[in-house]
Amino acid sequence: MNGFSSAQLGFIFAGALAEVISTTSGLSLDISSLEGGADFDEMVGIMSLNGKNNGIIFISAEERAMRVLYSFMTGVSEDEVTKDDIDDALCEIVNMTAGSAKQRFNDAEQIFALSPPFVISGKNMSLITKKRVHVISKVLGNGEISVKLKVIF
Amino acid sequence: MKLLVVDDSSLIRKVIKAAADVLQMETEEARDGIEALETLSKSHKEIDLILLDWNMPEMNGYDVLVEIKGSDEYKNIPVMMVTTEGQKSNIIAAVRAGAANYLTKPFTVEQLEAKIIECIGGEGDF
Repeated sequence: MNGFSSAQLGFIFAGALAEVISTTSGLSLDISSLEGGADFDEMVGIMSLNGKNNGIIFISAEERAMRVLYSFMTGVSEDEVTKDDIDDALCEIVNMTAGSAKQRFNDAEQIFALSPPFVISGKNMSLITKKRVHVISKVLGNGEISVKLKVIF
Repeated sequence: MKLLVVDDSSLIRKVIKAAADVLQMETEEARDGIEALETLSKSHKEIDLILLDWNMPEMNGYDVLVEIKGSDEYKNIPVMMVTTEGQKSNIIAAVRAGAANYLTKPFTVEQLEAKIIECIGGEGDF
C-alpha cells in the first residue's frame, strides 16, 4: 500500500484487530511479531481488499480459541458453541477488522473496498507467496488464547 | 417494542438480541435484505425500529433502506444502520436516504443500547 511502511501497516491492521476483539469480547490481547512456527492455526478467515490498493487479510485461530472468544462475545457457554457459530464469528471478525483498518486509512485516501469474507479450516496450512509480495505477520495473545494476523499486499 | 435485526452474521444478530433483551424489547431477525422486506410485508405494523447491516448477500442494506423509505407502508419506521462501513461518505449517503441513526462495528453493548434508545426517542445523534 503506497506511502506506508510495513511497520505502519502492521500497526494499523493489528491495532484494528485488537480493537475489534477488545470491543466485542472485553479481552485485551498483546500484539507481537509472528516469527517462526506455523503460518496459520486451524481456522483462517480471509478477505480480499480491492480498489486503489489491493491486498488480502488473513486472521487465524485454533477452534478452542474461537470458542473462548465467541463465549466472551455472546455469553454463550463454550460447550454450546457450534462450528457454524465460530465460522460466522471469524468471518465477522475479519469483516470488522478490515472495516476498522479502512477507516484508519481513510484520512490518507488509501481506500480499498471490503469483499465477502470466508473461512477455511484445516491442519498445517501454509502461505506461499512470490518474493516481491509484502507480508505483515503479527500474533495477538493473552497467554490463554492467540490470534494470528497476516496481510499481504 | 420490537426490533427487526437485519444482518447476515448470526453473531451480530445474537449480540443485538442480547442487548434488546436487556432493554426488554422483542426482536425479529432477517439474514439479508430480501428476508427483511418479506418480514416487513407480513408484519411491519409490529416493528418499531429496524437495525440494518450494509454489506449483505442478495440485497445490500443501502438498497433495503431506499426501498423502505420509498414505501408508504414502511417509511415511518426508523432505520439505524449497523455496519463496518464507517466512512463519512457512507454515513452521509445513509442519512440522505432516510436513516435515523448510524452505528459502526465494532460496538459495545452499551453503545448499541444508547443508539437504540436515541432512535426510539427520536433523538438521532451523528
